Amino acid sequence: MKLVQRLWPSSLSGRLLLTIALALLVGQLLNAALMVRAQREQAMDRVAAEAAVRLIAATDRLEQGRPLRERMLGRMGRAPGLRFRRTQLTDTSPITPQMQRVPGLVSRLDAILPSYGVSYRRIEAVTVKAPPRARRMERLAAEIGGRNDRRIRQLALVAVERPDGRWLSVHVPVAEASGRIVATIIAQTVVLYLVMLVPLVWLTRRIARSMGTLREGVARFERTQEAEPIEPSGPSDLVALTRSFNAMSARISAMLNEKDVMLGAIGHDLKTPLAALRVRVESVPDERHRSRMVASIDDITRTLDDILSLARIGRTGEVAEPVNLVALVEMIAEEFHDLGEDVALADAPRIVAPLQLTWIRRALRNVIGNAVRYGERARVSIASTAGAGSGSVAITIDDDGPGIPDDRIEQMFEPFTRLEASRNMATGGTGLGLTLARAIAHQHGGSLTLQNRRGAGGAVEGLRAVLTLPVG
Amino acid sequence: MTDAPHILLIDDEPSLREPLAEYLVGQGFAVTEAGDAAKARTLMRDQRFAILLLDIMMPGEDGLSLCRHVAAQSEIPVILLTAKGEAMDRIIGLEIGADDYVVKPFDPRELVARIKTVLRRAARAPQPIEDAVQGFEFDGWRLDTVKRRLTDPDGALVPISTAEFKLLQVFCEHAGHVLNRDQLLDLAHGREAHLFDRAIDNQISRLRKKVEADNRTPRLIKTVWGGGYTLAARVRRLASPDSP
Repeated sequence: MKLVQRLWPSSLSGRLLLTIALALLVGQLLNAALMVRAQREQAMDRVAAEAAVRLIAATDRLEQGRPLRERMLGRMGRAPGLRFRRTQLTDTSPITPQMQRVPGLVSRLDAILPSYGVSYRRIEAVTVKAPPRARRMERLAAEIGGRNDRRIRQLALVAVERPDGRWLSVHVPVAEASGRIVATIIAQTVVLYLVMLVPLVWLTRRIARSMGTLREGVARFERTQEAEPIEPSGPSDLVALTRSFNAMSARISAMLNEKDVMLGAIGHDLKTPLAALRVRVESVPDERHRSRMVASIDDITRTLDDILSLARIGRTGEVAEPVNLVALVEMIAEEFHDLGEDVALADAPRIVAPLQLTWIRRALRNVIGNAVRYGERARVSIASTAGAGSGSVAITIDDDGPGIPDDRIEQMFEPFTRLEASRNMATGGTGLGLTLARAIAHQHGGSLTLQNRRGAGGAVEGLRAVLTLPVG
Repeated sequence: MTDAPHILLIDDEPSLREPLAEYLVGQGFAVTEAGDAAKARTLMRDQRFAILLLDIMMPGEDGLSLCRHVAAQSEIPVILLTAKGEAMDRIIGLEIGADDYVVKPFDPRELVARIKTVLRRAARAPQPIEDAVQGFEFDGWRLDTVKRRLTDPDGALVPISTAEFKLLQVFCEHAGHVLNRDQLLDLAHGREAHLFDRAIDNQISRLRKKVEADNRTPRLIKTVWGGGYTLAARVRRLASPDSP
């Protein structure tokens, strides 16, 4: 089953071609079987006719009192090795029970003999291996007769029990099925394959090309989310499909544009009153109150920014540029140092990757920020894994915190998920940081994973976040 | 109060404009308010302003269009107020002639600090030649002063903080000169920056980590004993950041 799966082609044109080729082959095999059968029937008819003629002639001779055997071959018939009695009259049947019976021959002879005045009690017919003598005789006869299509390996032995109880038997050569049929069938199949498969290959290639264009268009839309109409080509079904896709992508693109406009408006309409509030807060005389109000406004702003960013990911409008990733991580580590946080960066050689700088910076800030917030400190290391043409770089961020229960790790990437609701106020995150960071990683064709770091005893020693990004 | 810098504040949203004007007056500025670009244009015909605070998103003519007009017609510095903090807006804002921007909701104290910095810069160099300069090149490195980015000799972006960027820009502008810590502080951050000498040393060390092949034996940013620091490289001024 596995072998079949492996051999079964995956592409449309491959499947189509293989199916047609197999169907043709089955058809040709059936054809060959029918032809072989027809040939066999024909051979049987011929054997029956020849046996009938001999039996009729022999019966005539017996009834006229003439000798049974002819001396047609003259002296040659007496030559040693060529003496082979075709027609015999015996007291008992020459047929033994072990011999291979041929009912088809009996029924044919039953249909012929009575109408030529041959009376008999019963007929038996078998095939026997032709003795060498018979083969030589037949070869000779074939050469004299100018035929070369008969190779004789078997003889049909037909024995008729006459009314007087004696047995009249004749040997008739049975023609071998000619190998030419197989050759004919093979030649036919080859011709059919050429005639049918060559245009089919051409046709399926064309369809495959049209589908390839469509597939690339769909992939491009998936990547850019910008509607670019695909030129319809190929058969009408594909043209219709392409048109439908074009219409759909245009509609989706329009909806996404609307969404962007709406988000921009929401952002503006919320940030203006926030800005007003932020200015008015300055007139609050109580320093303690003021700073709390400022912190609240900052929280709202951060959440708003995260929500807007998350909604905008995939359509950021920012192009990827080669960025020295190590310098970027260094700069972020320095920002955390300036805030008095413990972020250690292991030395790494220069690694350049195509990045949307502002977004990756944000993802890294979120992940490193989580490490120092929940895990006391962050140890960051950067390692590139070389690949043929397209390697990747892994930024590993380890902390010394309590980790996350294994069954809740995936959940942490869902928006507004926080490990402990009670820590909300103390730690002040939006619950969107990891969601956003992972979305940014995916946008770059990379990934973000979390796992617990375990010590030798299996105890959790902290959390490890790995941000993987493609290089080049 | 006659010599108080006169600010023209342009924002369509009175809920922000009014308290902000009040706050700025409280900080010692004279403030005139305008609700849209047309009103601002009228006001500018009759009065001279020291600086414009300009909201980007406004009905009618938007802030960017007005900013372009102001930059082309006069030398009045402009600080943009924007609701979007995205890089695109920053680049567009600075490329069309704005001097700075703040993202809503901003810390009013930070806005005041930026207003003062921009005003001081405008006072010191009424129309410096540097305005035409859009970047510097030294030893293969490029400092794009419009987009505020540093690229290494291989063309890869090297992210640096704003403080480091300003410091590097000062070094490029004064290539070959020895600058002491006070001068660096003043040129890069303004006299009122609450920074200590050690902060400059720290920034220098961070900058070296990024541009020096070996930061223990610096080749570009050199320490001058008793004096300060100097950028020891030939600096080329670029009219356009992409020019060869």
